[in-house]
Amino acid sequence: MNEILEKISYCIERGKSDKHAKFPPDLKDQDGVVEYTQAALDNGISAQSVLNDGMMPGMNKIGIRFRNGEIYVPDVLIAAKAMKAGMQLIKPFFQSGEAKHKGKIVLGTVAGDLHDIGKNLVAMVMEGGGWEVVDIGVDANAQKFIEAIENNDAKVVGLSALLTTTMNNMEAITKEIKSKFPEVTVVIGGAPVTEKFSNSIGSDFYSADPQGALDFLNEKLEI
Amino acid sequence: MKDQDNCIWIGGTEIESLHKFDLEPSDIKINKQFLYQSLGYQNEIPEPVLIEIDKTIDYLNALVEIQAGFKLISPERVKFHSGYILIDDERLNTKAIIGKKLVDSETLAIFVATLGSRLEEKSKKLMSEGDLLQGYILDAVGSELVEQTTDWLQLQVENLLSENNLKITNRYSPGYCGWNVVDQQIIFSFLPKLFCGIKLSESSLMVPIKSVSGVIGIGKNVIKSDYECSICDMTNCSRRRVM
Repeated sequence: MNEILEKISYCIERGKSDKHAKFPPDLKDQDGVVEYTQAALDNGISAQSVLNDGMMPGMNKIGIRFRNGEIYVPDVLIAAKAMKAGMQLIKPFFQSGEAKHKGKIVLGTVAGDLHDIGKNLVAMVMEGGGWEVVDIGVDANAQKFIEAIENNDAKVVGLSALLTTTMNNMEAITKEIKSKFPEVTVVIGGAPVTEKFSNSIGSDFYSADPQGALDFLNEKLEI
Repeated sequence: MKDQDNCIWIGGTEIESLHKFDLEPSDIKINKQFLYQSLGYQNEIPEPVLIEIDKTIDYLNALVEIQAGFKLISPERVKFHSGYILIDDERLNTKAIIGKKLVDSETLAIFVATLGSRLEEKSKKLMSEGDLLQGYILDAVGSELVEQTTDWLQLQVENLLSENNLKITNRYSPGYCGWNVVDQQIIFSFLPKLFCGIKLSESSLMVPIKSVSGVIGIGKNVIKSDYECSICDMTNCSRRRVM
């Protein structure tokens, strides 16, 4: 891998957003994601390569370490913030079409449930994995999911729930989505959700952690 | 803090009473060790996380409106069974784990505590604006604060009853140990409407979200343990205490 791209990956993993960031202490006054991303673009590295070969490997390492219980949610957020700082520089290339996301994923917390921390965490890992996230928020019913799929031509939907009561709403929403868009992949997650439950309601995949969902989608959609 | 006590004497000896408290954040001490644990940390905590926690605790005052309260139910209205409790004709399906812990009780206190909604609104705003860590830490500090508020409330119940030589059990909430959240509808039906400003959604979710509800067993021969998380099978619960 190109040295600059390796630096981008490393700075994301360490949560070093830019030169002025005091954290982590051992990288104080050193360049961060922003400076290395700019350097990559200045050196003719494409925005797509910056995302695919610099940013995504960094976030991927974070996702795996989180899944393995080596780091915790705040660490993921610190890394995601560093990545977002770099993303600002390559955003125009997505708008011009020069760089492309892997696809769009609609994410929402299901009807009756107002918890969104878990969903937000999944959104960050998905974005870090090269997906464009359409976040429809909390308390989302089937209609809201369906409209978002239609309006964004999304191929993947993620449903989140924190409560055993609202978890049951996943079934009706999944069935409505599948009846209208059989080709759309439905992924579910949340504290009370299990693989058995996922199978029983006809969703395509359950993951206990965001990285698992990302790995599944990358494999399923052969990315 | 204020206790808006509204006592109803029954039969000259039993008390059925409602107690409500308005608290300042300074009344409740946040246990940072528990907070670190809820974030996942056992040992080394990254500096930005420590800084953010201290910053958040400093500006909590403007974001919370702490209310807590409990209702003591008259013993003749309550019957305890191994997997459920009957209050009048309403059945709380606590399931076996909690049922066993409450079965020696003579009556119950039904309690609630809340921080109000400003904290969760601010947390959502921070996260939507990209301040991910700040939003998350604020949410976690809120969860710890409402838990500590409930600890404080439990102590008030304990102190009040100890004057009458009565003891209390640990507190138990729907959503844990197999007790379905739906039973919150029954719990709230025994409290005044919008008690402490809390309402229930159709899915039995408390609004504001940073709220806790549940029951505490009361009796001469009940036991309160120092640590109860070990009885619960939700091993991935972020509130699980590691002792």
